[in-house]
Amino acid sequence: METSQQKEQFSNAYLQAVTSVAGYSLYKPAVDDDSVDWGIAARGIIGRIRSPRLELQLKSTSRDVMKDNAISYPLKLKNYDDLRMVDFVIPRILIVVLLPDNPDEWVQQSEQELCMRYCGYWLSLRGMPETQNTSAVTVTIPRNNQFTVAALESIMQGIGQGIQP
Amino acid sequence: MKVTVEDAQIIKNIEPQELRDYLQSHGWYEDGQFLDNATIWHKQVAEEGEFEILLPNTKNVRDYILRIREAIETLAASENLSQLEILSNFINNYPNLKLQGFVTQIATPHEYKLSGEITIVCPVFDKLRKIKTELKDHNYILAIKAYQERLPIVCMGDLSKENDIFVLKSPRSFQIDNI
Repeated sequence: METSQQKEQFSNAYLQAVTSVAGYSLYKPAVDDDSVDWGIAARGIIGRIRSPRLELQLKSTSRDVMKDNAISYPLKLKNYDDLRMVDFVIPRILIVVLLPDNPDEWVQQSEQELCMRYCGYWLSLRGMPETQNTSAVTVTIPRNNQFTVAALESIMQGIGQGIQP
Repeated sequence: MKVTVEDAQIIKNIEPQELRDYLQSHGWYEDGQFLDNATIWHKQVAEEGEFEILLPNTKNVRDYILRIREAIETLAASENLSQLEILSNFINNYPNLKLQGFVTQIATPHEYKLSGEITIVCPVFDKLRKIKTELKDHNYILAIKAYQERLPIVCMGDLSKENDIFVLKSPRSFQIDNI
């Protein structure tokens, strides 16, 4: 398997792990869309909305994108433009999963635990400005935007209250 | 015999109001707003549970095709029909449709010109349907030959539904299909 495919599958597994623990279901969009890899759906009333939903683009990288307080990730211009728009029915976010260069280091497993390295970070590009760049835009994701179970729950609860991420 | 349709093109042509009318007439109820750009619809189906659809307020939302595609999927599941059967309820005007079928009727030709109405039978959205179209000159002769020799034909055109009758407008690339 190509390393890029391995990374994609690993980031899928990371997303599935977080979503499962949060108690939401993952779905693949009904139509092939360059900027949506997955959707997340909650079941049952959260706030004012019966079934909050979120859609996302999932990226993975082992490049050195970590700065002091943020991740600087170069995003293709098309993806940037698709994700920054405000007129979607279902809100969209970007998730970037950082992982070690060597696949042997991605998972550490024992009888007590399964540790996945390193971490995913999320960002909403909603309402970000148009750019003059021609191929890619480097987006900055705060390090405290870790894509954790609590973060996902918070995003979904927000959507349930009518607050877009 | 088959028909090929660009899904995205079909879905783009479905008006939110058409879908809203369909939901209202098929036992769905509106259950509030979903954020800024859609309404939530629910339907309880015996032994199946509750189904949910997000109906965009306008065609201008960027995920319109995604949402309508989902709605078609959900309607098909809730009514135990194929997605194409559901889609057929929304066929009003679908451009660039390729038909593949048989000429089953040649209407009386026009008196002073080589043209007339023909009927093609072909599958459209999972059902065999009659489609009327007007041909002239060489295409009309081809249609007569196909009718007499029972040969399949292919034809492109813009399908529309008028009083529950399918009509192929601007027929083009009409030819006898070489199987």
